[in-house]
Amino acid sequence: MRIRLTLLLLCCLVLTGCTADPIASMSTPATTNLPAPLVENLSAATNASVLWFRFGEEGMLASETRELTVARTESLAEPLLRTLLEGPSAASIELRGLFPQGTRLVSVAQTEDVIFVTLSHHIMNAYPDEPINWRDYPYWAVEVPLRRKLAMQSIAATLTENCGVDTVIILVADEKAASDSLRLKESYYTHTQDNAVAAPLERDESLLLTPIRTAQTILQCMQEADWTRLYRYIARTDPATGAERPSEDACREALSALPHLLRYEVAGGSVNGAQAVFTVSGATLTDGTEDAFTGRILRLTWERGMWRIGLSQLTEGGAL
Amino acid sequence: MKRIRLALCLLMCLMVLTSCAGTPAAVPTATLPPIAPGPAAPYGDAALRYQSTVPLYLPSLDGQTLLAFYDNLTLTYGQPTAEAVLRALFQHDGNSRVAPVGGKTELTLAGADPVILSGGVCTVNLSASALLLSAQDFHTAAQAIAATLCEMDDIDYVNLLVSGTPVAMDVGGNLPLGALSGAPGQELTVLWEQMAAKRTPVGALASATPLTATAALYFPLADGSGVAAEPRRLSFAGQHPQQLMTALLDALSSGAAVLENTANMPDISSLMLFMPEVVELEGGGRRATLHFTADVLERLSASGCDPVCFFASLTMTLTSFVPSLQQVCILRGNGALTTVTSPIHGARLFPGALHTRDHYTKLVMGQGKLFLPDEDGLTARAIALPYRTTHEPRTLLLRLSEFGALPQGLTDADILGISVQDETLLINLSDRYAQSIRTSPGQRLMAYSAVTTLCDALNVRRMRFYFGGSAVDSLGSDLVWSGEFLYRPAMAE
Repeated sequence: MRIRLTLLLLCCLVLTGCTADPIASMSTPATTNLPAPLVENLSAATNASVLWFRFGEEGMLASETRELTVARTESLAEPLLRTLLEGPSAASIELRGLFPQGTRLVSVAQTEDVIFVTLSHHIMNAYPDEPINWRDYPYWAVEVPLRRKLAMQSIAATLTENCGVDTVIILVADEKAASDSLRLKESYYTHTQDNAVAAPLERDESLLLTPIRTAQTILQCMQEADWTRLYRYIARTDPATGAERPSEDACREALSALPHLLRYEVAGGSVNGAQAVFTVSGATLTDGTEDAFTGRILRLTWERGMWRIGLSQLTEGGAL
Repeated sequence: MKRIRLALCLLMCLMVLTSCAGTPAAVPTATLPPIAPGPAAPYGDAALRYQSTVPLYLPSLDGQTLLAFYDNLTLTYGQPTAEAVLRALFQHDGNSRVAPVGGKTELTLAGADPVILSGGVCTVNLSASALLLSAQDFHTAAQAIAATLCEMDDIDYVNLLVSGTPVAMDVGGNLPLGALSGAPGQELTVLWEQMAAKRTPVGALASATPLTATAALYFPLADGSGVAAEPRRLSFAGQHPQQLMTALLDALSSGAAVLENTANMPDISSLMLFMPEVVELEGGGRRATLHFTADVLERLSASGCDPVCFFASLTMTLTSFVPSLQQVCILRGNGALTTVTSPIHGARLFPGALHTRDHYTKLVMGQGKLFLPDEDGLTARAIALPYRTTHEPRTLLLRLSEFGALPQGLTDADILGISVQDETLLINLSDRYAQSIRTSPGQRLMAYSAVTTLCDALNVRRMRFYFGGSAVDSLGSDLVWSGEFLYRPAMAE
């Protein structure tokens, strides 16, 4: 009898270990009554910010000021980057977006003066109009790397302008890629197998159409006789004469008749509302003879979101 | 008595006081500054070199447009600058903004006379390496060359040849490039699309594809000295070489529209027995055959057109435009025209009756300008000169002597030296020629005829004369020959 009782007890003890999984606690957290928010309907703040987009076919960025809605729960960088990825507003017809379709902002993290921006893997996609053999075409051989350079610079320029950061580091959330780092690679720019990590982005003023850079670009067009490019910077309405901008052919004819601008230097740069004033010195070339000049005034006017120049500034008395 | 004493005392005081003045201050005497010695008389023409900055147009890296860059070149007064400018253009390696002309293909000039300038048309002969370029790349290079050369005052159009023949812009070899005018600032892709739009569509006939293009027409000069070019925009019914040639010959028959002093062109079609023919050569290239009447030479002489210049006109015109045309075979009656005799150029042989550009390059004339004395002062007169010498001071001085503006008898040996210093042209003439001037009347106009002609040609503002290495004050008249003569174009108005 004792033996039977002992065996029965042992069986009972053994059977206690037959359960497959440990039994989860069936207890549910106690529902607690959360305190009500102090402010009902958390409102978002609006912020006027400067964003940088590509200016037409130019290899430069122009600014657009936008009123952005910033939720209390996010930093300014997030709506800035989302807007940048969406492209310029419909009102800025001369500006172009710079990111491949589908590119999303994944996350933003800021530590002091460095900001980390994680973009979706779509950033690595080609743009729909780029040919596969783009290296075979001089235009695309320049344009393809330029687009990527401008895209990254638009992020750097926009964030450094508005978010109090000096450096931007781009990360790419690409789950499929077998990589030891999310950092953007050099191959993004070079389209090679170069897996080196791209350098952190800093603001590059040479790509931004600030007033001084616009003045320099206009003078560079004059020096290089690049009338097609210069035409983009001619004001639609000449602020000095009130005349409408003539056709591109008429502008080209007028500008071709001017002496060559052999060299130039831009000094000063006073921005007063819708006008920016610079002093230009340099030399022109006529029939092989150099004529140095100093103290010529170059006036730019703010028109349709861009700094531009009146044609009469270039062609009439006292012109460069 | 007292009054006398008083008067004497007063007189003595006055006399004493007259000596009270100090030593008179030395007043500087106004004199003229010493005459600065003029520059030394030149011997030889080596000092005619100068530095000049010229714009060069190169294709932008993206191939969309031409951008101007500037180079400082060593040029020679009186010599054509186009060749030196082109060599600088071809040597430009490109930079961060522009690509070299021709890209990776090195472009060079070909032949002994790679650049010929006449009537505002500059014909450039490139070496065969240009054939390595695709049609579009060649078109881009051609636009860069045209934009660069058309910056010069005396060039309006550029005609490009490769190894001495015009280049086709289509696969069929029918679409001529034609003469190009500089188009800086225009988009290269647009210019290329305009050219490509002229191509014969797939499945269509070249003979049914009309064309409008600018051609260089070479007209014989009235004095029989050679031929000169005139650019003209022509419409062609089709692009078959025979159609191109027929239209060119018709245009020549109509005579020059702008050029002066050209010979009366006969109606070429009335001189021909058959339509022009074109055959493909085995080694590449094309040959045209023009079959004239048996009495073509007599009829040409009767019309006052020099026969050598006439055939030069045909050959140069056709081989400047029709793609791949290398030779022109001239037949007359039942035979071939292997010899052409002219009172000016003598007898010229053409083995196989094949006329090529090489036979006639030396006959291409440019236009020089002389300022000749007349009753009212000076009168400008355009004269035909070999294209390399239109601005050459020696040639112009010799021509002034031939036309009587300077005393007759000036020889090349009498021009001891020419140089330019500080924009002043220095001419050193021989003592022998000084004697000729001494015995000639009208020395003032004589001097200003030379000054105006040479300053205008060399683009300088002043001129000095030397005789036997010295500045001579007078040569028997009141004109001071040792002074500096200013360029006064108003004298010719």
